[in-house]
This record gives sequence, structure tokens and C-alpha cells, in this order.
Amino acid sequence: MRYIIIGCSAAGISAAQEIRKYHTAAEIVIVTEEHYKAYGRPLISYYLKDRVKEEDIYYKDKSFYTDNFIYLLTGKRVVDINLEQKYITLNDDKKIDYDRLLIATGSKPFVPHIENAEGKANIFTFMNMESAKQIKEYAKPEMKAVVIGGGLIGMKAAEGLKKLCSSVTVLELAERILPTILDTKASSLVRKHSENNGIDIITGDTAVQLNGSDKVESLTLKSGKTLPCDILIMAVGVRPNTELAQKAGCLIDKGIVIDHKMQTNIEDIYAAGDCALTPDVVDGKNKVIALWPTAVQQGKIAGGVMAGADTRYEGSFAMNAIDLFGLHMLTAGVIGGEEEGYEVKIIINDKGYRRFSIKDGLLKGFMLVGDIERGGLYTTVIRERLPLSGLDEEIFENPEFISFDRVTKEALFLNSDAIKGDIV
Amino acid sequence: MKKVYAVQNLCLNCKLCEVYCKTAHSQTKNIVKAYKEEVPEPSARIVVEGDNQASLALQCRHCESPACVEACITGAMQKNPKTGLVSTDETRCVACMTCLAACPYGIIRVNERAAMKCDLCQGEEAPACVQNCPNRALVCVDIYEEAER
Ligand SMILES: Cc1cc2nc3c(=O)[nH]c(=O)nc-3n(C[C@H](O)[C@H](O)[C@H](O)COP(=O)(O)OP(=O)(O)OC[C@H]3O[C@@H](n4cnc5c(N)ncnc54)[C@H](O)[C@@H]3O)c2cc1C
Repeated sequence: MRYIIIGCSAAGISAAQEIRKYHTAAEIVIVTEEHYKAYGRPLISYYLKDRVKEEDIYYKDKSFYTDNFIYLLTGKRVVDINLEQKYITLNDDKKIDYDRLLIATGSKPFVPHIENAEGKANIFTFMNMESAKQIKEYAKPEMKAVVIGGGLIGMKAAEGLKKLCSSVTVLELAERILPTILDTKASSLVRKHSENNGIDIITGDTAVQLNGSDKVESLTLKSGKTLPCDILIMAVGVRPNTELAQKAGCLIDKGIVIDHKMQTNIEDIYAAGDCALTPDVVDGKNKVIALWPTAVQQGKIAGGVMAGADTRYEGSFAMNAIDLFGLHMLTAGVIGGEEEGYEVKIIINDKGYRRFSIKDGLLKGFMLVGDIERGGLYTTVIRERLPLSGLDEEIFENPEFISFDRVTKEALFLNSDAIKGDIV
Repeated sequence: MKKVYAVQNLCLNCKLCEVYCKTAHSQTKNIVKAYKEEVPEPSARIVVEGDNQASLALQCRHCESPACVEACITGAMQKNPKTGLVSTDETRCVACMTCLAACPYGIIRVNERAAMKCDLCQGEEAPACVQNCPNRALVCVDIYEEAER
């Protein structure tokens, strides 16, 4: 039996690990286009700001691949999947047979069309170690850096760049930064904090034209303003990397469509991670949840199913922890506004900002900015669908009350893994 | 492996376990210095929750299938397949706190250097919290090692 995994990152590694658990003798081949073994992709911003050295970005010990008998092919791109004869073709024309195939090709950057953007030496994306290294090499202290996109990746890029360039400007089309995970208030707090740390932020505006011949020298904005620029990072957003799957005939709806077994519409071809369309268990919608923990979960289930385990994927929900210039944020579930029928609870105190979205007596989403201690308890309330009526009213101020039943004061998770009779 | 269990009705809410945990995880292992002098300030990895009516000390459950390990973006958080101990390699952790968001008990502590969690006081006879609980509300139990797969 030979398993082939395309993509050596969160989903791919987690799948390989799971397959190996069930099948000691099967062949596992991982193919990656990158020239690196699996690394923590989110770490590239920590690499930029010198928090992590290049040799410390790796997700697994060197021995992981040999210990688990994983054949890793780096620097090779899978260009085709032959369904009848069940083999993949690499960019060097080599063909490898598979019995079961996992597509874990992740995300690719979305680059919007901007006038005069072709062939510039100082435009970079921020998606992988290679791009981070290029940026680090190119950036100089006297340079003016511009980041297009004020989402998670754009803001993390800006944070890292601040260590390299004296001037960093973030340009965001929406009216606020981190628009998909933060509401107006939380976003303005994060904005202020980022500005205090030297980042210039322009919202509600975008670049319509780049000026310069072989290098970008300035940006012309929609508002008519001109923004000087020596190095430009495109971080507008990511899209599922579905090209290969589509070519092979997989059903695509934003991401690769999968079933409860993580299988695509084609037999023996599975998909997991950023490239897959995921059922969101909080609002029941199918979406692309491009986050590391989701990719690991999906990879694990896909690997198990591929190896014959009887597991089922019910879906995930977004869960994101971000730190920007030392300010911690935690978000999970949906933002959920009143206009969509959610009850919204907001708590502002000296510790920070909290927002909760409630529907049908259940917590559907939260946002913590500043004080995030014990935040995982809120994730539990969402994940376990704990009825709020059974919990103390004070949980919004103080998450530790989640641990106790409102009436009986019994600890809900007391030694939750223990065989109770054994201890007392 | 060993695991620490809490007995709710014996907990006095005195928080001594927090004090001894913090001291055990300090550089000097000295209570006064741990609280007053050390930079960076050490963190307790156990928390007493609740009030005088009902309280309970909680620390990492070293879960069978740990959500923190799944969530870790660096690979620093790992479960030792032999001992079952869930621990973070503090030199590789970047304190992004995704583990805290994922932990069902929210019991990983924020620290600028690294995520802080219970390590069952490796190398000691029993965890400091258990040794110093005045009412024996914390007990250390040797549970069967998970059958090796
Ligand atoms: C700067 C940045 C910061 C982030 N921060 C966070 C964060 O704080 N928290 C969080 O949860 N998530 C974060 N993310 C998102 C997270 O990194 C992704 O969700 C995660 O990496 C998805 O894993 P994956 O395995 O699905 O795919 P990816 O990590 O995208 O990996 C896919 C791999 O497949 C390879 N590949 C694609 N096509 C082929 C092919 N045809 N042949 C061979 N190889 C191929 C790619 O080169 C790539 O190496 C961040 C992302 C970025 C870029």
C-alpha cells in the first residue's frame, strides 16, 4: 500500500503521522514544492522580526521522517494526477503510483490586479519561508515599506517589517484592520496599539496604480494620494490552492469539496487543510477555514480514514490567537452581529475588551483583546455547546465560572479524565 | 504516568498550591525571591478557581488527545508517547497562545517568553502542589501507562 501526500505542512504531516499509527508497513510519500521540511508557516513573521532563527522554524525533529519511514520529496511540484492508472506526475516528469492520495496543497496568495505591477523587483508576497527570506534580505532600515492588506497576514508582516524598516504603512481597503475577525471597537484598539508601535495605517483606501519602472517607487491610491514605497508586500488575502485538484476533476466550491470522510468526489483522493471546504459547526455554513489547528485536525482525520480507521469529520470552527507587538487577542467562532440575530454582549474594563455573540442560548463566538487568560474555557463552551442557562451569569466577566454548575456548584470538568471512583 | 487529581470538597481555596507551583518553577526556588525579585517573574501553572463556597485547583490534564498539541503552530507542544506528559519546549515556543485558545480548560498561562503549563514537576518525587496542599485536596496517582500502540 502506498500513500502519497501532496503538501508537507500542517495537514500533510498530521495525516502522515496518523497513517503511520495504523499502518507500520505502508509506504508514505510526501511531496512538497518547497525546499524545506515542514515548518510552522505562521513563524515566518517571527523569523522576520528575529524572534525565531531559521534553524528553529521546523515543525518536527529531523529524525521524525526517518523514524516514521516517510519518504520526503522536497522541491518537487505535482503537476498531474492520473486517475485511471493512479499515479502522480512531478514537474521533472517522474511518475509515482499511489493507492491513496491526500491533497494538502494549502493556500496561495490572492494578488489583485493593480496597474503597472508587472516585473517589479521589490514586490513580495508573505506566504512561505522563501518569501520571508527574500524580504529580510531586501529590506533596509532607511526603506519605506508598504503592506497592502490589513488582515492577519498583512498585520503580522507589518509587525515583522518594523524590525527591518523605519517606516511601515499598512493599506486596508475595508474601514478597519483585521475586518474578518474583529469588530469596530476591537479593531480600533489594535490599530491604536499598532500605531503606538510605529505602524502607519490607512483604511478605506487602496492602491490603483504603482509608479516606477523596474521597481515600485510609489503607489497612487484610490483617494488620489501618493504613497512613497521602497518595498511592497502583497498580503490581500489567501485562496485555497485547488488548481491541481480541479485539473484532476475534483469538485471545487471555493475549496475542494469533501465528505465526512475527508474524501473528495474521486475515490481514493482525499483533501485536508486550507485547500478544503470545511463545514463550520458554529453556523452550519461551508467555508474555507484557513487556520493551522483546523489543518492539523483535518489531516489527522484524513490520515486515519485513509488508513482504514472508522472516524468521521463533523467540521471545525475558526479559532485564532494573535499577538501583535505584545498585545494578545483571541477569537473563535463567528463575530455575529445583532443584524444577523445574535445577542451581543460587550465587556470593557481595564483588562481589555471582550465581545460575545449568543444565539439560541448558546455561545457562538467571542473576541478577547488584552486579557486572554483562561480564554480556552470559552472555546469549550462553543465546542461542547454548553447551554448558557446552566452556567453562571458571571462567565462573561470571569471565565473561571465556566468550571462550575450554576446551581449545584459542582465542578463540571473535575478530573475529567479520571475514573472518579479511583481517587477519592 | 503520574497525574494530579483534585478533590473538590477538600479544597480550602487557600491557593498555597499556586504559591508552591510558582516557586517550584522559579530560578531561585525561593518563595520570597520568586514573588519579589525574579525577572522575568515566574508563573504558577496551577490555578485555584471558584470562591470559598466551591473551589478547585486545576492544572494541565495531560489529555489523551491534547487539543493544545494539535493547535501548536511551532511544534513545541508535544505529548511524550511513552510517559504521556504534555509539555512545551520553551525554547521553541513563541508565546502565540494558540494552545491557550484550544485548551478545553484554558489552563495554559500567558507569559511573554513562552506558554507556561504544568510539567508535573519533572525530577521531583511529587509535584510541588501536591506536596504542599495542607488539606490533601490534591492527590498524585500513578495511572496505568497507556498501552503502547
Ligand atoms: C504569515 C502567516 C501567518 C499565519 N498565522 C497564523 C496563525 O497565527 N494562526 C493560525 O492558525 N494560522 C495562521 N496562518 C495560516 C496557517 O499557516 C495555515 O492555515 C496552515 O499553514 C495550513 O496548512 P496546510 O497544511 O493546509 O497548507 P499549507 O501550510 O499552505 O501548505 C501547503 C503546502 O503544499 C505545497 N504545495 C502546493 N501545491 C503543491 C503541488 N502541486 N506539489 C507539491 N507541493 C505543493 C505548498 O508549497 C505548501 O508547502 C498563517 C499564515 C501565514 C502565511
